[in-house]
Amino acid sequence: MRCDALAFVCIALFGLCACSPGNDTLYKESGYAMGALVEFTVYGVDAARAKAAVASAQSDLKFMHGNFDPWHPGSLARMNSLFALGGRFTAATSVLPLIAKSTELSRRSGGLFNPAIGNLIRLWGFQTDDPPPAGPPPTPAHIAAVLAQQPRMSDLQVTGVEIESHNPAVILDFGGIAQGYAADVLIEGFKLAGIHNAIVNISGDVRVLGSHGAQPWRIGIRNPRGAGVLASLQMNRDESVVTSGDYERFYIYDGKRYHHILDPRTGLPTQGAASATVIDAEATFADAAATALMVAGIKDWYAVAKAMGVKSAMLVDAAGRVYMDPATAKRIHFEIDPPPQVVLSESL
Amino acid sequence: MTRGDYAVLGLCALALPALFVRYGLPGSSGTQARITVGNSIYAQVPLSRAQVYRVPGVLGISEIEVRAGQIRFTHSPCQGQQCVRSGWAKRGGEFIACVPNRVSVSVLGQGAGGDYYDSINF
Repeated sequence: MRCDALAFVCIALFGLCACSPGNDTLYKESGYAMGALVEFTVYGVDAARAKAAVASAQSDLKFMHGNFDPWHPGSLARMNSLFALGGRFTAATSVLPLIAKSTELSRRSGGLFNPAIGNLIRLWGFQTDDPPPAGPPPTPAHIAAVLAQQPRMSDLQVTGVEIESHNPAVILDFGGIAQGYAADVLIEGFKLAGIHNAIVNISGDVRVLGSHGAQPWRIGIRNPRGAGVLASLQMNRDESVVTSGDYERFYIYDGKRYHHILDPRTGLPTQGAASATVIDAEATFADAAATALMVAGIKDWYAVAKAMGVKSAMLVDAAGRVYMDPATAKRIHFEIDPPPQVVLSESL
Repeated sequence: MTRGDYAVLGLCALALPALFVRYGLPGSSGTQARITVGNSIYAQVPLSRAQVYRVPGVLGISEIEVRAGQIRFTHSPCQGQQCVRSGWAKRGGEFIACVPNRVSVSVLGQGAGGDYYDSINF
């Protein structure tokens, strides 16, 4: 008995020490890059290797920002200027994959995800945070004039590396997809660098790879209508979670709140949903789909999700009610007490 | 039970709190928070001591309060006030950021048990 007990306790204590999910190999780096809060987490390699991989990712992110920013001199700003002039020209090749993705996802969303509405974004003043938009909101006549131009991704024609727009009003703004796309690109870079467990978080758009040792990565989803974290989610090994919300950028004018996610059909800030979360293997898709579901709102989110091929989604309305499909409900763990009212849809 | 068994159990009882302190439990509240300005660590503060920190960011002073093991923004020079509305953070891995003022706080998980949240989606 004595020997058995001693052996058991020794083995148990040794096992506890050996199996504890130590973070000796967990490397985290966060900061601001190009106006966005960016966080990198790498697990399972030594700090020097993780640091080198993150430095390379930072460099890639800077390159992408230079190419995808429509409002400062760079590749996309140049292309937007040339769309207005008409005619065919050589596109910036780094932007072409994003144009192809955006065109496809815009079509699948029935135009609710529409990165061609840069004119509308500029009309509202949401193209910049420096200085932050303060209102007043544009007049109905101005909005109607911009909507009448009907800029769409399908106005663009790409032939090889050449591009032309059949609509001079097209101004591309990839704000609803570029961060997800960047997260996917950076995770692919980690894979090439031999990193098998990592998280890239760009302004809240999260893409994970692998796991945190024996545990899956656990991601908290911010509460759009209250303090702290609404729910948490244990991630699959190569997966992303992206939320589009009306709380991130907005201004209040004459007591009324105007947020930055615009409905391409009305030209006004979206209504109904406070946030839309999409879980998918690809952050690019999740980002665009979350934007489309915000535009679709509580009434139409399910139909749009079905049309786009979304497999997992959660929306929160202004009253804090949660709408989601059964598969998502099985994975979501609410972190608020009492938990919110949940309205389940059919399976996606 | 022999005297030796009792001795072993006694050792075990002494060792467990030490292991808890060393490794912590995932999901437990953090004991410290890190305040970051831009890409630099401004301070690492205990959550056990009530205190208000005035942190200079790019727009002005962010006021950050620590009380009862939690941390929050109480004042910010930013327009949106999203950081102030975010309320308290207390679990390892939770963080609140004022992007316009470039000031953020993150709660550090206890011991190597790690953070409850590995990252926050917003």
